[in-house]
Amino acid sequence: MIKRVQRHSKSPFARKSELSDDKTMNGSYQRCRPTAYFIWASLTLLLCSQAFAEQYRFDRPAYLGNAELLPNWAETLARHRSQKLQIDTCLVDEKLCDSRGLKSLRHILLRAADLEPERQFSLINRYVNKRHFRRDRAHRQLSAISEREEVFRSKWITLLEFLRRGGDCEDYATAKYFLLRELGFPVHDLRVLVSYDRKVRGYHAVLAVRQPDDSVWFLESNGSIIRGKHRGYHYIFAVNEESVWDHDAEKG
Amino acid sequence: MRKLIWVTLVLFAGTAFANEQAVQGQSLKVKERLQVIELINIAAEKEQVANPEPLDAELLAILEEAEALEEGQPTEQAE
Repeated sequence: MIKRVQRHSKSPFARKSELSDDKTMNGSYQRCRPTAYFIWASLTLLLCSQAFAEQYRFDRPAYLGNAELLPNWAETLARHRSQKLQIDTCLVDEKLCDSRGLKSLRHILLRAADLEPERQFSLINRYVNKRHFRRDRAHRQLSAISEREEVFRSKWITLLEFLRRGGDCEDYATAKYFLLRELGFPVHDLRVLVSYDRKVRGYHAVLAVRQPDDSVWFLESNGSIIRGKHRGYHYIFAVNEESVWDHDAEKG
Repeated sequence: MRKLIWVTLVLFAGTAFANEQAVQGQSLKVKERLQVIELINIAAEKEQVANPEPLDAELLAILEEAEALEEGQPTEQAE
């Protein structure tokens, strides 16, 4: 039966007229066609979904180098380290908190320390996202890499600077990063990820957090937490305190 | 089988000789990539979602207390 089908049709979608009148063969043809369509449709859907839902993974081979390679980011890390003393002092004793912002931060960190990780993400995400959105003015600076030309660069700010005056999406992501580090999350499970967001047609930053099962959650600035199903992002680069990853170069 | 072995050996040999040039090319490539990354203006603003991540009563209370501290209001919570 199978051989006769092959002789008379080139594909499972062959027209009925190409086949013999044998009732058994027509029966088997009728059974094959819907199945073939189903398989084709499933594969198409799977391919389309993969195209639009490229999952971010921490094990992508995109390591570019040490975090110090990006001057803008390295300066921010240095300023944060120098400001961390204020945070640590405030955590020890509320009377040593020299601003209301620090008192508020202290309260959040102390209470969050007793929560499960998922609730910590929710709390930190909401705490940071309530801050005033303030767009950076890209400022003109001498390129620290080429050392010749002036370029417009986004300004990255520290946690304390963000709490004082707000910021935009990379500042939201950076603030969440520093807060989760204060809560003890390991550096290799956190990245500030910059991507091209197809929905808003612009460069956008989120905090990417790797989970114990290797899935990655995005703590978004719009109030949502995206758990493992990332859609509409074209990943560009990522940073943490130690490294820079270049995802755009992965595509060759 | 012999052809396959020869092809494999030739390919590996090519890779070995290419390594030295690849290292020099790599450092230039890193610098180029950093220059590109440096120029990216991260400025996209996303609208708040209609249904943000829901919080339970305890988390909402923590946030309210934090907000009160920031506004300079006394809170019941003793630290």
